[in-house]
Amino acid sequence: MRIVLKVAKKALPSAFIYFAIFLVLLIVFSQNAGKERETVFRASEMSLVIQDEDAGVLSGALCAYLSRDNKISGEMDEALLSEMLFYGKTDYVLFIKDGFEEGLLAGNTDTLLERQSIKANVAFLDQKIELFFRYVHAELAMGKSMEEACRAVLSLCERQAGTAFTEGAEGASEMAAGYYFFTYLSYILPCVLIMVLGPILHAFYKKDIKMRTDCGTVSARRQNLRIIGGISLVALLFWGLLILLGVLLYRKDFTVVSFCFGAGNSFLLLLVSVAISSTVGIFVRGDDALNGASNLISMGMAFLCGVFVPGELLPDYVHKIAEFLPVSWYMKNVKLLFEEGGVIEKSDIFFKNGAVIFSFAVAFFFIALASVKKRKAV
Amino acid sequence: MSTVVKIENLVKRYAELVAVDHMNLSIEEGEVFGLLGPNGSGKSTIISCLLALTHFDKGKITVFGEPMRADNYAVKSRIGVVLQNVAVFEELTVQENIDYFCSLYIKDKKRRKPLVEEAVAFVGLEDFVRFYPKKLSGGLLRRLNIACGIAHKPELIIFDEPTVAVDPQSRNRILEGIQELNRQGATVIYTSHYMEEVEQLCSRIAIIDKGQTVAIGSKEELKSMIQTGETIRVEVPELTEERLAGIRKLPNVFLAEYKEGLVTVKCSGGRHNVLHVLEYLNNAGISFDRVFAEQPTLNDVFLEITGRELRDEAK
Repeated sequence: MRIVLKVAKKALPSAFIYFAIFLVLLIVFSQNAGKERETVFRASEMSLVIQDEDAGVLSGALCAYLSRDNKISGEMDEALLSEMLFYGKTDYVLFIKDGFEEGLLAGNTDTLLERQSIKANVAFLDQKIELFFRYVHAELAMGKSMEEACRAVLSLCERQAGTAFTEGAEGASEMAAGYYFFTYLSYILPCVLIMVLGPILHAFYKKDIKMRTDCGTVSARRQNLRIIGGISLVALLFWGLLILLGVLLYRKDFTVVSFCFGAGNSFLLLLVSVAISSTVGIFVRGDDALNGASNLISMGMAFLCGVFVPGELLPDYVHKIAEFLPVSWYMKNVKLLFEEGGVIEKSDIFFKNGAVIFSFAVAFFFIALASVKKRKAV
Repeated sequence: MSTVVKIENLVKRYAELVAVDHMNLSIEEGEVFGLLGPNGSGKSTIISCLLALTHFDKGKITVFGEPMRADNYAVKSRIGVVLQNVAVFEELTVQENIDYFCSLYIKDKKRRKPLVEEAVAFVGLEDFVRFYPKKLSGGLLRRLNIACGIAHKPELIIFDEPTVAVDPQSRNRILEGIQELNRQGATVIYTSHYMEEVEQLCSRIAIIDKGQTVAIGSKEELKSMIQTGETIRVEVPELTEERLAGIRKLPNVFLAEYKEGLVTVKCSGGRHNVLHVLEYLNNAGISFDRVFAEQPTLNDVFLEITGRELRDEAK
């Protein structure tokens, strides 16, 4: 056991770096936890020049409509306009020709409205102008006069566009800081355990060491039990440290019961992480390769299972893939911890999810055992 | 003297390759027994089978009178192993490594302590006990590897090519150490493709080729098995075919050839062979420079038996 701890010491600097990243993530997200978010989106402001030769009610209304979100410049001579377009001092030039209002009533605006731009991102502005005309047509069709129609359209456009950030049913933005603690635990546990347990297993199952150890009088079963005992101790120490951190920093966000449920959930993830780390440690050789495997596995699972990106924003096929990953079930339980009514009301779902995580742990454990046998056979 | 190791009719195959082919060996107590053969001849496979590290297809291996099995820990506790590759933990110091490998045989820490100290002193690593392996030179690492294998005071010690890639100074120290272990009562099995080492160290030698024992005996017995008794080389600037034929007719000479200014004469035993050759050259008025005379080596034995050079194979 002592020798396992000594080997584990080698990986402590890397583990410390990841632990520090975890702490920083926690602090950053904890500070933003529960704060109101900017939920309204506005069109970005563009610079427009409008040359209004018609100077009628409709053209005035169009100018007013466009000026709500854009910077409008007055009339200027053509040479200056060309120069402004060329040097990008203006994004868009709109010529409203004489007889524009009559043209609209006759259903012809194409020849009476000229647009110039050298930028590609003005399509949205074209769409806005077309939309304005459609609204005016609709109001006129209702029997309103041009003045009434323009006033109605401007009034309609005063209303806020209803574009808002997609909130999940769980409302992640309003979650307590403790939510982030358990969420990011699902990244840090597999990541650090692969980094720390990998070198231990690699050291013991290295071909020459294994051969040399097999020459001794300690049975292979006993050797494996010693190694399992050692890595379990290291894993428990690390998990205990994290849980202690959770108790110290986030105890106000939990009841004793919900924290126990959360800790239990993370313990199941610990079992999965130990089993995954064992498989990786037996096969992957070298510190760099181990580092890569650690990042690939832990970050891959974190992204696919909605740890870094809210699950609601991920496409359906990602959700389907995530079903086959233990972190996804862990995250379901973490969300249950913070749902209204508490985890006790939905304890049956919690335990069902826990059973799935445990099954993953058992499956990965058998894969690790098979890996040991395969390495021996090689 | 009792038999320590007995290998009977051992066969080990790797798919189509027969690594050990009906091998028979018997090693007696107190011997330094050498397994000599080129790389890939099957020496390490024999050792793996002997240590029950690998299954074999046919045959029987008995060590200390008991059948050797992976779970025969009573027998294993009497064997020390120094494998070809250095097998130590990079994360442990010299002392911790020796203690760990000793703990594979002796559980009691108090009993281990003096044994570890003795092993450290034996290989001369007293000044490096707190060093980590990566701070040690190749020679010191090999010595650490040996200390890990002998700390538990085994009665039979197996050295599998322990001097590969070692500087001459460390090599001599290792060979002296092995002789000392033998003097202390240990039976030693030594595998190598360096014939000089085997010749220097071993009381009995088995020459292995393609998984078979091609010859076995003491070095004198092995050398007596072949025709070559002495090889004489003389630097001669010029030599006609007629004169070379004359050399071939000299007593005991069974082969003479001339190549690039060097006459090589092989004689089968007998005395005064050098004198005969030099007398002939002198009488024929042939000038010559340097003269070399060599007794047969194990390479000559290997060459005559297998038709190949041991040195070339070893490269």
